[in-house]
Amino acid sequence: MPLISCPACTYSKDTSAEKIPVGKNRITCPQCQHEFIVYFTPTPPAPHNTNTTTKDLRELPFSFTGKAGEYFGIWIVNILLKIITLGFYSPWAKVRKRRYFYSHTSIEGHRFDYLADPIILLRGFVIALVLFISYSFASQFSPLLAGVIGALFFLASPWLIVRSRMFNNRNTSHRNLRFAFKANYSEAYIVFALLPLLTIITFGLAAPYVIFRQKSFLIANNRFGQTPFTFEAKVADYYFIFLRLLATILAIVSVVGGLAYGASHLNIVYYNKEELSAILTILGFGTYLFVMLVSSLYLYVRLSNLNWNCTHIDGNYFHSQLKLVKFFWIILSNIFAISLSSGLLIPWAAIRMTRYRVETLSLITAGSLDHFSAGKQEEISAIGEEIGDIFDIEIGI
Amino acid sequence: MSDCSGCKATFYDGQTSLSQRVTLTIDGNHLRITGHSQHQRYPLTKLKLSPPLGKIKRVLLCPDGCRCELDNGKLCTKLEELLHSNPILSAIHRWENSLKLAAIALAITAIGIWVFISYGIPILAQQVTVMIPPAIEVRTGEETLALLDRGLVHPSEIPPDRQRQLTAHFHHMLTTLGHERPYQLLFRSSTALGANAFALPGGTIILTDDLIKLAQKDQELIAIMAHEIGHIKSRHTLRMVVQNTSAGFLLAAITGDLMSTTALSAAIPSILVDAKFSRDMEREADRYAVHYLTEKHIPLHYFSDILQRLQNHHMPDSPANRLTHWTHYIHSHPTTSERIASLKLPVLPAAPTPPSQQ
Repeated sequence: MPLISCPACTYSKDTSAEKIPVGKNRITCPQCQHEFIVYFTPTPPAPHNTNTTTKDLRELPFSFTGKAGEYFGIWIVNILLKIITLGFYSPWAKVRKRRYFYSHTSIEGHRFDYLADPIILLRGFVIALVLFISYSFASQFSPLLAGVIGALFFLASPWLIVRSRMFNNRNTSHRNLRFAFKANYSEAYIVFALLPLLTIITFGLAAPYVIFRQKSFLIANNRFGQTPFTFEAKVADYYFIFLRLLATILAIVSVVGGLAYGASHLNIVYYNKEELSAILTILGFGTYLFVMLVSSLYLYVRLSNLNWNCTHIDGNYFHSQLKLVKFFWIILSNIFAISLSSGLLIPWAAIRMTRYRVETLSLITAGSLDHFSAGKQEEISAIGEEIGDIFDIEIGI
Repeated sequence: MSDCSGCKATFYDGQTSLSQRVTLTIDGNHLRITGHSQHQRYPLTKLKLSPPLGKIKRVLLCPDGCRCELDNGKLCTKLEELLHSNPILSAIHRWENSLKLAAIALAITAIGIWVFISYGIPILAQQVTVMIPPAIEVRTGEETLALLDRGLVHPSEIPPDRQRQLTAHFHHMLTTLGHERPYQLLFRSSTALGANAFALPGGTIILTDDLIKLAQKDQELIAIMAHEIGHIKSRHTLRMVVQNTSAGFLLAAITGDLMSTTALSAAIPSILVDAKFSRDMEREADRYAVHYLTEKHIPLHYFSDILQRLQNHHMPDSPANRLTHWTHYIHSHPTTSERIASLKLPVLPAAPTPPSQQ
């Protein structure tokens, strides 16, 4: 009798095993209507045997073995050499940092690797640097010219996102097979240039839909070797996350507002007018900061889980279980530790965060992962990657 | 013949995701790979060994796209001798892995950042401020004044005669200092700020009523005004903005390889840096005042007298030197004793304590 629990409202129910089909199930909670996904493995779990032909599902956790002490050396030498070389070491720094993190990430003992050639990155870096400097100077002397460059940059950003993604996927390998990204420029322009306008027109109402489209674009165009990833999320899932966030924000604001109103009108605490307005300003600003922090972390955690849990490759499912409170704690304590150590604990914080993110992820597979094969490969320039880096375009799942 | 027979590795052919365990053997000028279904032989010159990094397994890349992840370092040392690996990357790896060398790197990095922040950024900021038209400062100054008038300061209660007297001093100073900015002197009273004087960007100097009452001689106020004119002449507010922005950018670039929320923690070092910039500018304005007073043959003790009295006014209980050493780093002004010492004058033995003021 497997026990199925709703992650949203903790409602749970014993269900007879025959009723649930083996594999992935989309379940709607009878209590709160939250939709979630359950992977069902019939009992007893079969012993791990790669030659088995049965459809038994196995959960393979991702593991991370990076060590803060070891990464500290890499990190500090990277900073020093970047300063000494006025930034020109940064391609090597990037490769060393990424190789360290990728190589310590593994599944079933098979490691990932980052294979980018620093020389190719350096070429992209130089081009990006020239663009950045001319942009900074243009904005000093002529606002019009700066505006034109800014507009061109905006027009180029979907192209840059695709190029950067292609470069990074091509240089990421697992079991000596490289990842790839399909160069789908027309869709990139739709999801990264056209749809954001829709968000503005609808005063943000379309935002969950736009995020959904962007995530499906970024995930469904990935390939591992020649095997494509598929993405099965529904728009409703995104709206559900945003609605819950909105309800939480309203709750926080009304509690704080109610307390402030009560305190000022019931004369529990007596302040004069000036003091009161100062207190309200501080309270309002504090609430604003708190709400912003909680919202961004909430969205990050819930969207990461949703995106991973809707991603498949060849009948294998990802399963991400980031927990909001744990994640919040890691971020807050990292901020605290970094501040108190004037930055020296940054490597420790980075390793700790990555470990949590990697180790809450697993792959659910019905067979072995030995049957993937290599796809066609072409060399890709690092221009998109480096421009994106220097102008701080953030993409990611 | 065979040096390291039995070195194990995980072999991937690059065509499929299959892996298998293999044994690597060096055989003259060749490397032999033997496994369950693999029997390959590669000339050593065609092989590539990944540069060392942390304690991650070294990877041997074969010309046909095969990959071997080596179990231990014994074969690596041998291969490193035989293959031409990049000596710089190996040196960097040794550096990264030695605690002692990493500590040296840390010290050099810290010194490098400090030197750049102390000398590089102020010089750059000076170059940048020259390019910004003064009209922007005038505008900012007007807005700041409007903001102050909305609550922090109130109209002055100093008799108009006294105000006119001080304004006359101020205009006299300007005739010798030049009029390249729209200088003006304003009077305000403020309980929050106490005895104080400040320069707004653009050219406005404000003296508070308490300060005017605190001064025993007009020369003291002239010294204060010269200090504030020094701030305006060197466009300190604008330079402050430029310096704080670029220092913040630098610190964020160094500390910002995490999620952006964690970058909040870059705020603490930048508070210290901003305070240092502020102290440096106070010293510069002091030097300007000293220069003016010397030129006008006004004895410097007037300046130190008023500084000492301001110190007593703001901290009636604490002697000038009580400030512990480390709090120095978060203060926007140098300590009064340091400022007076830099005037090369004896500190007044006992400044008369002014009537207690809030």
